Amino acid sequence: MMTYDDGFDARLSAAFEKADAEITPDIRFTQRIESRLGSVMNPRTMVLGGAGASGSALAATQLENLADGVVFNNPILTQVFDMIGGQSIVAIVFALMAATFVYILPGRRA
Amino acid sequence: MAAQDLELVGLVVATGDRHAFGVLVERYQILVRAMLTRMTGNHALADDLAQDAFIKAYRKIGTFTGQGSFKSWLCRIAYTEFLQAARKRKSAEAAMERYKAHEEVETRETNWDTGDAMDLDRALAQLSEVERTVIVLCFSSGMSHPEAAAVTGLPLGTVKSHIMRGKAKMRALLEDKEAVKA
Repeated sequence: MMTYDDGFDARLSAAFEKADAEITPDIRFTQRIESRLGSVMNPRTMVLGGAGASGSALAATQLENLADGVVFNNPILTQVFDMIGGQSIVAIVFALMAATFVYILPGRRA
Repeated sequence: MAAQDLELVGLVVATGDRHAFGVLVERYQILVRAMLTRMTGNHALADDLAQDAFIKAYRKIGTFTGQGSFKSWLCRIAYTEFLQAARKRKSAEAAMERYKAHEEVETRETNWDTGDAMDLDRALAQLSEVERTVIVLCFSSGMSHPEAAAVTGLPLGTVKSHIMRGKAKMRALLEDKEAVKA
């Protein structure tokens, strides 16, 4: 049996439905949010990226002979290489590779 | 077949996939924008708050445990955004004055077909903040009383009381309006 309140509930629901029908899907709304997400780094990505980069750098320090045979013709590069040390450069390159991989992966469409 | 909410959430949590989150935004934008429009009485302000709510949801998506629906979880974030916006203006009353001022400007500046929606928003503006919130959640967002309790963090009995009081006020206000029209 319909009560007075039941009747009012139905009228109120209908009034909300009518008012809310004026709010239509807006593709620009979604686009604005997706563009703002570009600057939001997922905390999980940051943690995994940091761990991956640190691990790669640590692993690279164990590859003692990897940079031994590297010779540069450019004197500036040779000086930088001697100053920093081949092993450190290899560690930095490995860490950057891991960090880049973690940065690019989330942006790829599934 | 469209991916389920949980599948999309899993994808976003695992890889931060922005496109998967975009699908969730498309799916729930009307719900969140309508809810905030009815709470604030202002389209532009509601859209700004809805955007902030979705960005916050993306940041916090790892905290969604899958207990309860994604819709309820998202509405809770949107409700928190609304409360924070109101508190920034020192009090909910002061915030509503500002919303009303926005509403008047909007009414003058746009050709938006108001009519019944304006009556509804005016009646909603007469309710207390919590009455308005639970009425909007149950009648606009289509939530059950327990879902509205989960979103607002209020006990179920309190939610039911606020709905009763809110409905009584709305009935008086809307029927007064009809009497004047007649």
